[in-house]
Amino acid sequence: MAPILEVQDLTTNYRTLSGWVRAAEGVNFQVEPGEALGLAGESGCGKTTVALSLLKILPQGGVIRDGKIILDGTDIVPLSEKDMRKLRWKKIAIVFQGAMNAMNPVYKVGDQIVEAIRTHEPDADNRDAWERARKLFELVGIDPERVDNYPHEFSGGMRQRALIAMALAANPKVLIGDEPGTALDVIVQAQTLKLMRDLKERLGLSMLLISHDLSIIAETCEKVAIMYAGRIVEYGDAQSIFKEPLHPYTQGLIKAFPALTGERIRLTSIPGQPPDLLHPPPACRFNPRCPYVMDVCKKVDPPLQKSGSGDHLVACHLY
Amino acid sequence: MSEDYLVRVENLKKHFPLKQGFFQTLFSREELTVKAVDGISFALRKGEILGLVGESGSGKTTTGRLLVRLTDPTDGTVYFEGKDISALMGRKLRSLRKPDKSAKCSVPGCSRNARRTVSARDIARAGIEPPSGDKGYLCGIHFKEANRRLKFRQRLKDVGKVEKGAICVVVACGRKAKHSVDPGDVEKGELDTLAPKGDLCDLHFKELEENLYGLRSLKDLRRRIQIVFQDPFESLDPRMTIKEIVAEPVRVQKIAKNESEVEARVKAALSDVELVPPETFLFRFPHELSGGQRQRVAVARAFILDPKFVIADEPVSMLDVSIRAEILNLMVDLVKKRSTSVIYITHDLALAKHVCDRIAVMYLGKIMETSSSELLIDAPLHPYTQALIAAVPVPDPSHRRGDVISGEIPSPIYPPPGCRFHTRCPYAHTRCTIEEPPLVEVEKNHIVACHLYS
Repeated sequence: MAPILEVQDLTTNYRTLSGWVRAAEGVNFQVEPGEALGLAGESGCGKTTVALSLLKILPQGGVIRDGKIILDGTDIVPLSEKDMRKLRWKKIAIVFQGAMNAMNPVYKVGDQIVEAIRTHEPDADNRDAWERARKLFELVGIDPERVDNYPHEFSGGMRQRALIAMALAANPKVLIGDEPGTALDVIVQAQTLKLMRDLKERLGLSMLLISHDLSIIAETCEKVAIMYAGRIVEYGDAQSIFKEPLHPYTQGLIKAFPALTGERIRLTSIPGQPPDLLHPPPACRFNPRCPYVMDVCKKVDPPLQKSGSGDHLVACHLY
Repeated sequence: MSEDYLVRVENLKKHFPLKQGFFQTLFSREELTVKAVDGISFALRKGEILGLVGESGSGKTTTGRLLVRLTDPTDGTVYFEGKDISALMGRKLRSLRKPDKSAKCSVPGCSRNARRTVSARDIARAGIEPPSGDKGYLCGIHFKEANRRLKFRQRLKDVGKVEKGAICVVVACGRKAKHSVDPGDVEKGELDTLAPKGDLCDLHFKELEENLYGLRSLKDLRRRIQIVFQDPFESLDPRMTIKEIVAEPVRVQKIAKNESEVEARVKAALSDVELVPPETFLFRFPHELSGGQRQRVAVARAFILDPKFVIADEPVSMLDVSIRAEILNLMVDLVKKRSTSVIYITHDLALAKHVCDRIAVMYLGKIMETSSSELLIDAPLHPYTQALIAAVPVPDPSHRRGDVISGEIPSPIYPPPGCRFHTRCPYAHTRCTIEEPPLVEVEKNHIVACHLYS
């Protein structure tokens, strides 16, 4: 089957007074229909930039400088804003980060969902739209009667659900989740992730999940892309990556998660800071923090390719 | 041994009164309160790290704030180094309530009506014989005023020795006065309202406070108890340099003799948190630092006074996973080196297990289970603890998660009767809805409040 979303060599930079901030460079990935891809990495690695590029809602200064984003057969990079509006929400929708603040506090939750429906489907009848909002609430597990509530009457978990309902308002094919679950506590987070998994199966959604928390991605995604400093450093099947992480950065990220079972141990972390994307380190961008750094790492950029033993792609000179 | 405990909390409660509308106040008899913390007891040994875990709304953060006294408890006692700190006075005379309208200020010669008084209870606490039973012994505002005038007197360099045997007028402080107001000042200055010799001495007033609480004030307490807040983006003043931020506690507590000592202390504190070389950070602003560096600054600020007790309120939840471990290791090292006691508030059980010596699980303002961290995670007894552990995501795609408990934490305004968890508990039976389970020690050092085990 053809992938529903294909990103080829996406380069999104931010223009600043001191030069281009290379937030995403040469990013490649594909999302098959009904599949979930997890995009993981530290803050500032370009995950959110990629998500915003997919909807073309980059903040001022953000420019897609190169590459293609093929959504359901059409490249959306050259599309005008007017054409883009027709695609948003119908083809691709996003659940924003920060469930607590993503809704307008002075409108009813239902109004906001109806607004999403009617903006994207101007012919929709008002009463039908409200009916659909109720159906969406039911779908995400909130009492449909509560469409008449204001956001402050909802708990954190319900707001997160309502945001998911809003993203689903126009039956998108691809759903982007930007850090779903962060800022929620364990139980609500577990409930949200379960809901997203259920929805994926029931509606056949394709998802792109962005998170710095690998355990969230492990729970929900079949494929994983690990991003570091604007580039994908490891990409492939989740099972294979978690079983045999090849890139030293991925290994560090996985080790940073203490296991719930087993002995009490001293925690480990990746030393150093994420690089300044205005002046990224030469060649392999991880070289200043890498425990296995070699001379070649500072001179030659490692390509993303299949390595000897693993079934997935990795960009590292070790292999 | 109770003496081993640095901090002991007994039946601590915090009920926040709920604002009600006009008609509700007219027609409802009861006063509604949010029972954020509803009677918790625990103790903390020296050098121990106790984890406080639970969902949002379980009262973890309120407990933390009560311990530093950022909020005042509704009821219950907090003992710190064996002393009751739950009613400690702030810079103002804290437990001073509004006296009767008619109460007169007892600073003699002051004809105003008292606005604040020391209550008889406070005096009783200090173990001093209360004078023949009136309210309104001393008034803060007027005391300050008197104090100010006394300072004026000091400027006049007229500190006259008092006659032997003069009694301090700070009521209930039976001591003899050492300093007094000289009648001469009264004439020279504006001290017209202050009456004759030997009226008031701030020296004794301080002593009275000390007798009352062992510590002079909250300020003294805060030298020993510090807090690290959750969000390093909001807990650092954006207009202050790192040096000013870290030096602030030192300046407030007036422990450094001069500016160079302040700077030396700040540098040492910054090196302790591995912000090296410290010189490069001194004059930067918070916005120039990454999240992890900012949280290091917050840790440095908390540890610069070498506190005995630190409350860490979700110190790493806003940070990236990859740097969480670093900050936590740093804190654990600092704590172990100085044998500081820590309360680590978190909802991340996996981190809590590796960081804490003991963990207490809270739900709706009550403690449900307490045990050593290994025992609590590996063999949890309370169904709530089990549910929390089951909800922790596992970084392994082949792991399939069991059922997540449904629903959300009930309203703390009307907490469910009986066991507070019964509305969501898979094992709930009728007894749970009626009778509240007590905390019982099921095995050694493993305390749980659940009818399944009693």
